[in-house]
Amino acid sequence: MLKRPAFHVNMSACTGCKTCMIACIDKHDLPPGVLWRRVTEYCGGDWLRQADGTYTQSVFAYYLSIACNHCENPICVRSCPTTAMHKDAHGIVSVDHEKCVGCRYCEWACPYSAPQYDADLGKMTKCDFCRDNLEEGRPPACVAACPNRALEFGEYEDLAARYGASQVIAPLPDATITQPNLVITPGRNAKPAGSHAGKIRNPEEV
Amino acid sequence: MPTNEWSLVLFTILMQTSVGLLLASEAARLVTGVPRGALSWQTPTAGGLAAAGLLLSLTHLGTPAHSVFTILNVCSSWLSREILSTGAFFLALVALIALRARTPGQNAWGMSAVAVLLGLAAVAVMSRVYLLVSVPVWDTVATVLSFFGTALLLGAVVGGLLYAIQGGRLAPSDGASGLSGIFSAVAIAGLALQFLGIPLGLAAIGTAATPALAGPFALSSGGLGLLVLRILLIFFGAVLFAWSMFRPPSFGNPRALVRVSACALICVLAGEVLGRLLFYGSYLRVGL
Repeated sequence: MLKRPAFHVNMSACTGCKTCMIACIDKHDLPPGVLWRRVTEYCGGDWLRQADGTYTQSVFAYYLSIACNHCENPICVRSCPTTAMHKDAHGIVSVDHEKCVGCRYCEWACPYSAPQYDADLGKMTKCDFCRDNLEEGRPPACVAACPNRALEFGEYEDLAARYGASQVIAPLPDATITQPNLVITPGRNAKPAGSHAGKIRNPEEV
Repeated sequence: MPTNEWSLVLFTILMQTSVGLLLASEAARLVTGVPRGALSWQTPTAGGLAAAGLLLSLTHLGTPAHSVFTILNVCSSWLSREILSTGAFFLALVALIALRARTPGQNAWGMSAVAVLLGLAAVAVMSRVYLLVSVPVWDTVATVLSFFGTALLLGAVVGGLLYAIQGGRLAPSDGASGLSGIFSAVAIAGLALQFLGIPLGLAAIGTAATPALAGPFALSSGGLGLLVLRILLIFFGAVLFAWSMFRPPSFGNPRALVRVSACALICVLAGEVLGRLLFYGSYLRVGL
């Protein structure tokens, strides 16, 4: 088992096909509206007037596949009143359903929308890094399903050493809030974190 | 208009009203030295409001049966601390009510001070729950001012209305003007806190990072219209309440006085409920 599990997202390889989302839903039999992995479509741009009176455009779009980042300083764990939300010895942040009261405070606090409320259970649910797969030496379902190999997983230090420790892509939040175990290889259109250049254009999906 | 937070709207308003009611009535009791029985309804009403608030808070939970676990993370979770502090305030209030019921006429100043201090601490902790670093719109002093403003304004108006209903309009020599003065002063202080908090809250919304998703309801034209309505309601209600407390001597009909105070309460309550709905509607988190 990993000690500090992390995902790596190669934005240049991601086509936004959402196979990772579907694989996660299928693997965990998630009910409608509960998404442990979400693919956001971040788009922006406009027509720009040139000096000669002609117009050009600055339209851009990219996809970002994000699940729980099993952060080093998880705000969901700090906020949870019951200690149901916890980080275990393998670095996986998960919910103890024997304690969860379903107050949804973790959902308010997490800037990655990782904790998801299951109305049928009356409790929070979230990505558990496919713990059962890891124990059997298999990759998480989202990673295994990605047709473009845009998703990867491993020890954070290994991924950061291989790809750099970049986590600063819009619309992701300031990484200092939770110190996510996430490594991003930005695409050519990627905007820096805090950029106001675009908006998430598929809010109904994420 | 967000309506899925009704249980939290009612919980926070009832609990804060209970704290404000206790604070205002104990201050009136202490400063004016009113005769025994003149403010006998205020403390039990504060207890009832707090009990109703605590019960309503359970309806917000997906699994209320697990409520017993909610104080386990008191070392790091402000929600755990809120549950502990509101529970402690309620228990102190019950103890105060029991003390005064057992020995009528006794002021029980020690327990009264403990209950008031625990109540003020509970309001502070309640506001701290919303100071989340990932929700910059809430993470401002405006949230604290708003919560304390609600406590003082609604608590004083409820206390004053009960005083009017009791028919215990005291002769001036018994400290009636002093009582009216205390309730009015607390209500005006609450209104001042609200009016200080509203522009600060709007500034926080204005300076928040441009939302990646669609903006919250509070930023829309409908939200701003409701904010104006809210300001008018609490202002009109507070002015009406202050006038009813310092009515002209010719306005001698006690039942009419109760009606005016009740109208003031309806206006302030509507304004505060509207304000709290707008507060939850302004939720805007950074990130995804």
